[in-house]
Parts: sequence; C-alpha cells; structure tokens
Amino acid sequence: MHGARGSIIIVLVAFAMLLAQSVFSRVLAPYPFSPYLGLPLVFALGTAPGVKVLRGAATAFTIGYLYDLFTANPLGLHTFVFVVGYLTAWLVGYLLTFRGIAFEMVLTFALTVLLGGLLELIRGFTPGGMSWSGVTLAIALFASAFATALVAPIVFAVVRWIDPESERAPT
Amino acid sequence: MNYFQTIRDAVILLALVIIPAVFLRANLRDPSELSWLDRALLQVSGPVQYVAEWAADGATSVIEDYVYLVDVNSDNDQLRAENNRLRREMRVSRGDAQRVHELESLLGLRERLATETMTARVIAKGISPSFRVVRLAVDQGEQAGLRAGMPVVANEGLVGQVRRVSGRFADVLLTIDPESRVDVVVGEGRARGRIEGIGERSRYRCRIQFDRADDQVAVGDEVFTSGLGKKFPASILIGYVSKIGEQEFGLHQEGEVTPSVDFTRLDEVLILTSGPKDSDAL
Repeated sequence: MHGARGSIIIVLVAFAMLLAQSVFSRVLAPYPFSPYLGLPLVFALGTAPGVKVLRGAATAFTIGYLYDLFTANPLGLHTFVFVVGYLTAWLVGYLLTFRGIAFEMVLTFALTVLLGGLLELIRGFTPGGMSWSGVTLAIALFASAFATALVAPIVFAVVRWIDPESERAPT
Repeated sequence: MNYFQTIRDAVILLALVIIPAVFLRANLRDPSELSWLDRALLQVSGPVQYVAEWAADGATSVIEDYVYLVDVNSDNDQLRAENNRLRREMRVSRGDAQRVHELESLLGLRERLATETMTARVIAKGISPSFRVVRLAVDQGEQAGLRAGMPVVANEGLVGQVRRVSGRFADVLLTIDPESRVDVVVGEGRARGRIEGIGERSRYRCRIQFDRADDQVAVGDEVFTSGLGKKFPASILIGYVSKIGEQEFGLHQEGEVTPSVDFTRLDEVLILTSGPKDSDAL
C-alpha cells in the first residue's frame, strides 16, 4: 500500500518536473543544455532496491505516457523508452553493487545518451522527423545528458525522500 | 514467490514494453495505412490524449503566463521609463520645431519687408488678471540700435511700436494699448481711418474711427497700416473689422477691430529699424 502511494506521488512529481522543464526551457532557453528531468526519476526507481520490478515498470510506463501526452510526441514514444530505461537501470542496479552520487551521475549520463539516441532514432521514422545532422544530434545528446546528470542526484534524493521504502532491500 | 506469480509478473512486464511499442507503431504509421487494430488503438487513445492535453495546456499556460508576467512587469517598467523620456524629448523637439517655424516665418517676412529689420525675442509679457497680454518686453535694446517709435511686427501682422529702450531691452507698446494710434486703410474701398487701443484687459480689441461717415465697410474687412505720417510702413495687416457702429448723421463712423496678432502666443518679433519705406508686405 505504501509502495502504491509512493508511486502515485512519484508520478505527480514527474508531472511537476515536466511542467518545470517546460517553463525552464522556455524562460531560460538553456539549449543544448536542457535537462531531461523524467529520466533520472525512472533510473532512481530502477536502482532502488525496495521497488519491485513490476511496480517500477508500471510507474515508468505511467510517467512515459504522461510525457507523451504532454509533449505532443507520438503516443507510446516516451512510454516505450521510459519502460526500456527503467528495465535497463534495474539490470544495471542488479549487476552493480556500488551506489552514491558519482554512480547516479554516471548512470544517468550514460543511459540518457543511449535513450536519447533511441528517442531520436524512433522519431526518425515519423514523417518529417529526424532533421538533425549527426554532429548537431551528438552535441544535443551529450549536452542534454550532461545537464541531466548534474540534476540527477537531486532527483534521486527526491525519490528517496518521497518513498523511503524504496531504499529498503526486499526480505 | 511461486511459479505462477513469476509468470504473471513476466507477462505484465512484457505487456508494459509491448503495449507502448504497439501504440507507437500505430501512431507512427501513415494514417492511410491503418489496420483495424491501429484504428481501434487510436480510437481508444484519442479522447484520453485530447483531455490530457487540454489539462496540460491549461496547467502549463497558467505557470508560463505567471513566469512571463514577471518579465512583463519589468518590461513595463522599462517601457514606461522610456516612454517618459521620449515624451520629454518630443516636447522639447516640438518646442524647437515651433521656434524654427516662427523663425522661418519671420525670415520670410523680413525678405518681404522692404526695410531693415532686427529679430528680437519676447522675454516678458505683462499679463492682465484675465490672462490677456498688455505689455511686451524684447531682448534687444539701445545697444542694438533700437529707438522709441520703431514698428514691431510679427508674421501675422502689426504688434505695435517700441515704447522705450534701455541697454539690452525694449518695451513694446501694443496696438491694443490706449496710448497706441495708427493710421489705417480698410477693405477694398480703401476707407481711411485711425485705430486706437481700447485697453480692455479681458479681450484684444481696438477702436476704429473712419474719416468719412459714408465709407462702405463691413465686418471682416482687413485693416492695414496706411503709411500716413511715415511712422509705420504702409500695408501691414493690423486686424479685421469685428464690429461696425450704427451709422448716424455726423462726421465719423466708428467700429471695432480684432488684431490679427495673437499676443499670447508671440515668441519672436521683427523690429523695423530703418525708416519706413513703402511696403506691401503684410
């Protein structure tokens, strides 16, 4: 029950972050250093030992679906990428035992580059999509991943604060 | 966790990956190539998407409007300050333009007058309690060669004459002053007469006395200097007949003249410094 409530709050936080990201991008125009606030939220769920895989994947699914709805992207794009991102983070967290701020930042950076690339690849199949050149795309991906990695420890801390159960290893 | 639970979780996990992929596939395809499954998926997702987007647009616009309003406030302050500065500059520019216009008019007048002139700036106006100008002072005086009696004109017509001079200043006797007397001709009939100031402090008026009682004059006729007595050059406009007295048996006919010069707005004048020559300037 606690876990479900935590997931709902995390989804609401994701929505708030989405709005913050939109406002932040429009007002400050930090391009290409635009942080992707939804992804570290999913990675935090994936690496949290107390979050069951099913619950984490469902939460990632909901967050991704919200992103699709609110960013006018093809429905399913973020949903698919976020679920894949969650499962990847879960696998990494399962294989690696060390944690900490450096882990959170490196994991976020690497997975954001990969998933950002996947997003752009899928977008490339949409009519009129993928108008980037290779260099521009690489700059945008790495800059965005760098900015996301910088804010990742805060997002991980927010998830731990919202759902303390997530840090408790399953018995 | 038993075997069935593991299978169930795996199936749900798989569904969580496959469902968005199917949605995505349906959304990425050309609408003309939709299968029945695609159409069904879009039918289900469409209304949900519409409602969610409507809510998101509302929430986002409220937040963004607030954030932008913060900028709008500072922009407003800047624009207000800039607007005030531009208004001040515009007032100064208007004043300059007005002065240039007056000077250009005076320059044209000077060229039309067949006499030597001197430009002078009005530096003081004696104002009556009813806000009428009853006295003028100009910034040229004895040092500039002015003498009492020199005619003073503006672009609109005769202002008066120099009453007295001091070192750098001169007082001007206006045509509306009771001490002022000017020989005139009126209208096309060239009726002769003489005007003198009434000295009314609430309006600009002169009394006109025609030499003959049977002169044909009408309200609105122009009144010019006659040049008689060589005090003022001939044909300088003084004003317009505004009232004709009842014609009685007698030697004279009287009326009133409204000066063509608005003494309230005078800023620059010309002083005719050489002796009056024949002029049809005004």
